[in-house]
Amino acid sequence: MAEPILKVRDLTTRFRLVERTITAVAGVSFDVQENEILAIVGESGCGKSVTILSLMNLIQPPGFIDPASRVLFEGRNLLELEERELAAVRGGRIAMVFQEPSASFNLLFTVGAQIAEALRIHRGLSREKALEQARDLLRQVRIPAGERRARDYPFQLSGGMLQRSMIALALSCSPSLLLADEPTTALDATVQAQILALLKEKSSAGGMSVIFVTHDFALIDGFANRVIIMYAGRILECCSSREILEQPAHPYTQDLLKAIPRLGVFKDEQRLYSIAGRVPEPGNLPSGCTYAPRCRLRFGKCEVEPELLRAGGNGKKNHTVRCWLFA
Amino acid sequence: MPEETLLYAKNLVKGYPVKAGGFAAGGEKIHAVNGVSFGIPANRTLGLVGESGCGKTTTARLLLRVVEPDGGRLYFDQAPEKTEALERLEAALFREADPRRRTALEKEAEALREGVDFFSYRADRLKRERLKMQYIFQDPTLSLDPKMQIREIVTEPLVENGLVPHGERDREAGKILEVVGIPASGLRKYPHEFSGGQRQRISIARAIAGHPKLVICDEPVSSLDVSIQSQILNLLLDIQKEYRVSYLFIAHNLAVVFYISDEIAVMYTGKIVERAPARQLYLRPLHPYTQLLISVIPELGKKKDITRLSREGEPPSLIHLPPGCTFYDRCPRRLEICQAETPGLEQKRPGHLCACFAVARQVYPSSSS
Repeated sequence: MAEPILKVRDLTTRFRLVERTITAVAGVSFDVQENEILAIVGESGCGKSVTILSLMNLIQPPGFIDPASRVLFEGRNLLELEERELAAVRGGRIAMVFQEPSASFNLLFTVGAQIAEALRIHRGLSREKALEQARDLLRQVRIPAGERRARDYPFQLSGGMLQRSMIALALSCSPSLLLADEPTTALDATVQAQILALLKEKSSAGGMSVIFVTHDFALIDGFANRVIIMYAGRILECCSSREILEQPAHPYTQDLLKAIPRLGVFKDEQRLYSIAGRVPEPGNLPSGCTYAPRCRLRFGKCEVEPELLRAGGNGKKNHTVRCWLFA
Repeated sequence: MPEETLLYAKNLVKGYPVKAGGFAAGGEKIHAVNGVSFGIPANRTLGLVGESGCGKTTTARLLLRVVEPDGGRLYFDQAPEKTEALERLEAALFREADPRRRTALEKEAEALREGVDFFSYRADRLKRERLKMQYIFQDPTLSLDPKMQIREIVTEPLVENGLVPHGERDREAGKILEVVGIPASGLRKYPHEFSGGQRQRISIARAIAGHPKLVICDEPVSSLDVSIQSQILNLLLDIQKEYRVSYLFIAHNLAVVFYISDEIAVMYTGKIVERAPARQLYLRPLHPYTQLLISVIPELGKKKDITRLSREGEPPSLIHLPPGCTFYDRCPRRLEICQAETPGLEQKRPGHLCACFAVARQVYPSSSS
């Protein structure tokens, strides 16, 4: 296998609160391959967004990243870079797209000018050249009348068009890695499909890898190549998106898949599986396996937290799971 | 109005004026709901689906009279004879030419309407009738008063209406909270002391406290975590069995709506474009918009590549709705007539309504093989 473009090792992010320090992300390690779409799936508070922000060293006090954490990109540890060096990477080699596109644009400048700004900073293009390319990018993300839309202010665009403009901005400097945090959550189903199609097209054709954060399990099928399931700041399972659906190993993954209503399953056919209890709060984690209090298969060993283990079987070399059942 | 119909909404219309001042002044309106009619049978669930801005929430608010309609009727929990009498009278009024007889008929219709049309109920009657029509909203944090204890929140409508004496308040609250799985120790707690899922359980407890006949659920699980959603959906199903309540269920997550609903109505630009039993709508959607909508929903385990199925385009502006079918611009099956005329919602298959010129009627299934 080729060298991964991103290697994350023991990423730990903590928040120092008044009375105690909580750990939002606890020792997360993973790789991202070239041209790969990696989905990070989890419920609210599982640490998926904090993970993304940590990769770019965007954690603000009272949060801090543990000094032992490493984010290796193009041979450098991003967490050790000077702010000035890091700024050159952000928006250049690594770009970001967030959930609410209207919050990501400055409402006082036209969409075209904001995309052009990135090109001027990272590529050193002239004002005219940059604007020309901005218009071109808007056409590439298939915004109708992209030429004219470049002169529009953010409020003049619909949510779907704004998110596409955001992606145009993110793609403007041909990044090799795109970090997308719930980029379609605020959008309608038809627009969501358009955005996913755009991302997939850009990743397979343009040599770009994507880390895609979502709470929507259904999205990974047919879109992501590999999946990480996060729970309480930890990776519970990691494998190809086909394996997660066909042979989920962790009891949490299995339970979630049974709890989600699926199209084509109706109430008179099947009762949804109810997972007891709720997601633990980051400041109040159970000792041992974080899922144990809700797990239907827990046993004695679960009082100690397991490492990420091989899910077993041949051809499953890349399927890891944090559960004692596989020890 | 068929026999077991609990609610019948007829030709609901609602427009919101665009804020005056600036460039938008000039009496323009956002046409949120444009002639929506539907019935909800007793003890059944009608799901409303459609993308943001299609009028789902406005329709729900009209039923509750949180917003007043510009036009339309609402028959809720009425004997069919009464509503039929009104309908007959109005048909006669429509035909009547003689102005004197018109005035008499109008008076008669007006009197009848006040008795049966939910939209013409006055405050005191509305307050009583509303006990039978309750609601659950998306965000339980916003819909529960932070300064009230749980026992007060749950029983307030009952005490207000004199259905439960003050002294029995706690006992009654305890009973209802047990149904939704909140322990009695929570009676004197405040909403912030509960988790999101528990707060939604409390909203449900408040909604069913007065034994309503209809509960309007507007995105009841979308603010909840996936692992909590199924708990709440199962609870709603159990309550329906036990209390024989009807639901109007609104959610943008199609998988959830299809799962919980008996019938589903699909809305587009403030109109119902298709209505059918849930299974039938999923297996054989007729309207091109419904087909598009179902094709873009990611489905687990279906290997459906939604990225290939997406089509460009967005709904038209609700301020300047185009003439004819509003889906025309995005429609793969459009005909010439679609640009000029608006298709009506008509029965195309048994029990399956659709508003589209391109879909042929086939009400009686052919028995030939």
